[in-house]
Amino acid sequence: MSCERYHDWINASVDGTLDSVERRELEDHLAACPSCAALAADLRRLQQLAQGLERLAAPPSLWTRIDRATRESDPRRRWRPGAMWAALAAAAVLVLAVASTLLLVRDRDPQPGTPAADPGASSIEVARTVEAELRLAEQHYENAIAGLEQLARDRELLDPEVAATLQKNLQVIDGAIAESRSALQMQPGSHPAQQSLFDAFRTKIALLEDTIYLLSEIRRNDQVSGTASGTNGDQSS
Amino acid sequence: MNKDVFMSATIRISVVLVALLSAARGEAGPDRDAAAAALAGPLALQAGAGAESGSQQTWSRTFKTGPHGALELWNLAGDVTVVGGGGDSIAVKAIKRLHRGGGPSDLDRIEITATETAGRVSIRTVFPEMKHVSAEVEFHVQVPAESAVTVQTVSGDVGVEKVTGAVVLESVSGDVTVSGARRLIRAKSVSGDVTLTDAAGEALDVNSVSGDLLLKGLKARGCTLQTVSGSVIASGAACDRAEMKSVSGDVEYSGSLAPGGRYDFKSHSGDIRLTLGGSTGFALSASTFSGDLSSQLPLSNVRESERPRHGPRTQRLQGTFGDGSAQVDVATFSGSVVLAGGK
Repeated sequence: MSCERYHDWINASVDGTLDSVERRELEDHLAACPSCAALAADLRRLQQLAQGLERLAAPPSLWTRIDRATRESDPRRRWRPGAMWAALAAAAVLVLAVASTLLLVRDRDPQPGTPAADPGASSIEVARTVEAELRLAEQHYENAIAGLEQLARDRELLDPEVAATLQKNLQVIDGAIAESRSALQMQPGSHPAQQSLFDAFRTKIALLEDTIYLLSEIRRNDQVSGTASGTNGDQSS
Repeated sequence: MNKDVFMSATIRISVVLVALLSAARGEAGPDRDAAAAALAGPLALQAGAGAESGSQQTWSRTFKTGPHGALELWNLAGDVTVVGGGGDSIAVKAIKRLHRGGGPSDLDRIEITATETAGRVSIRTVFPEMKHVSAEVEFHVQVPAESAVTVQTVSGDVGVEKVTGAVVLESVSGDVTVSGARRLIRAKSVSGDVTLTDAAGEALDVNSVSGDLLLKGLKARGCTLQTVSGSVIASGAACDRAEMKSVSGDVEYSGSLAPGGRYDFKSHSGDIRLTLGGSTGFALSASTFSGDLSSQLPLSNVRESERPRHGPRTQRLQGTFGDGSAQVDVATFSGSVVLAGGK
């Protein structure tokens, strides 16, 4: 087997999607191939670095560029894997940004049993800061979701029942977002409401990512089949 | 959000489940046909001997793989059952079936392709364009128990029994049922339920969008169980780490905790009920915005948040049971939290 084939396996290994047989074969290869072993080490290091990413903000223009690229390209070519991963990476960066903000907010959330903040000017200031950070975090999520919704808009390509299932569950999540938001208007410092809001955002992003991946696979197969149709022999049994 | 959740989400993206839908959209047509053809292997096998009728054909094949072989099965429509046992061969029986319209010639056009390389058997169905015809291919497969099994279906239930090798199961609109798996890696469905009985694994990923996740006797180093509108119910569970989430469904965990384990239970509008047995102590952090919160276990170092003078009865509870070695986080928005002792 060539090293190129093992590169896919290295990716899968880092993602944790390699099965045991492949993993054993890959490990044998890595033991004998310094080049592939170095690649595997680099990818694992990248994964660790990603886990430790600090707060970053994706430029708003990124979404515009992604959207423009998908609109302008030939429909059969516009879903290059790179474009999808760029979109997902952008979403991931935004989610990381929100995560950092949320951690800040959580740190300020009073712990059970601790006395309430002094009802003075300082508490009002803290409340305003928390509200501002919450709004900022919400904005990050909304930006990410808006971008993903744009990318997932061709849901009519899916089987109607599956599309309906996805749509119905997106509505369930939207309901959770609306309830949490309403609760936060009443009690901006409510930890359960904050947590529920951001959990709902994360769930929605995950579902949209799945939908986008699904659509990209449909387009990818269209592309592959377009190439293969001319050479595929008659294999009827 | 913690970094683990982010990584989990990122890794989850790579799951191939949704790829199955590439050939599942709507009515049969050129796209579906081409997508199926694109996924077909290079070798098409003739149907083996079997019961034949106007609306049914059988196909069978046996592959000598050794006790640690691997099966990869991709099916567009029809149920798939895989049973682990003895021997060193993978035996595949497929039943092509017409439900509506068509005739024997249409059954002939449904291809089952197979490749076998170094103990790895790959089976795929290729459905041609068949207007006004409804057909399926039902698979019954016997594998050596220690085989690795990967099954992906678009429309059809998937059932796997007594397979101790690595198992990955994905269906778009069917139910996924697993029993006796010792190395389950992933069980997913978009609209079906996922039911696991006496399953075990290192890092389980069990997921559905609208279906329920029902797990009995689950044993895992780590497990992530998530659904949007279904419920997550684990009984007799023993997990070192568990993350169980639903948006509108209930979350129930009945079983034991591991010393030093971490457990995260969340639902937006569903109830969360934990029935914790065994002797492992834990530190509890639980909250609900408008539901009720109660513990039938004696907690020490209890700290409860003050209730606001106005608005919903937001509740938050922290406390310790026993030595507090495990960490249990529970959060729901409008549901209730009940913590009870088990056997």
